[in-house]
Amino acid sequence: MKKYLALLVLVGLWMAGAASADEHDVRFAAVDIYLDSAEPVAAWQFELSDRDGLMKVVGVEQGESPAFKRVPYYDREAVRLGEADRIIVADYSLAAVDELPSGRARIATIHLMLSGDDDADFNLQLVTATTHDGVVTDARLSHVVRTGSEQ
Amino acid sequence: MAREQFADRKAAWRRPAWAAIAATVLLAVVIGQPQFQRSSMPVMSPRPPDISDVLKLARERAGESGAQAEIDALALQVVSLAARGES
Repeated sequence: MKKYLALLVLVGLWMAGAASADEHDVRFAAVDIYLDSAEPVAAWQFELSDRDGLMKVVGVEQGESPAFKRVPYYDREAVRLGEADRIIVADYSLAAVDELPSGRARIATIHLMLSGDDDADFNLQLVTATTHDGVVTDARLSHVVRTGSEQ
Repeated sequence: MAREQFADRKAAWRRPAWAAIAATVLLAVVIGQPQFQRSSMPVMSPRPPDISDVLKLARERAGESGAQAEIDALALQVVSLAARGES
């Protein structure tokens, strides 16, 4: 009987240790998304995912352009429920052409929770970028990852 | 006798045939009405909607009261459906 009790205690300790190790594997990062366009951009939409499925989106922040003042559009319900393992973010502006961003500008920052020890392999795709008159413009996306604290 | 029977059968077949022709003509007239013409139906976009469609709508309805809520709802729908692969 004592043998079984000791075994039970050992299994319990091992499970507690494993759960604790899992919690320590979670870390946070912020991904700054930059759009580079020769022409002023009035609307943009992109998709961010992780090829290894390590990420969960926990928040979205607006960029630096005064023409895009508010938080961009994204699936808020999926983020709230912690189900956003990929995200589509978009925004538009009715500002005058000379107020719209051109060149390289940060359009959004995505806050992520990452699991596992490996670096995330992000897949960032531009869905569309258009000028004020709705014409699709040639633009490129890039991102910078800022890692946060480990938990 | 045989000739009378043949005439009766012929008459019995003629009635439904005329009814079918009349129904076809009526259907053609109805389909020919402008509201049933393909050109007057809303043109379906060959691609899923994206933020450029929202921008277009926002430009068209700029200044209208209550329009912003509808535009916001559409924009949220565009990104949510796309994220769930339903667009």
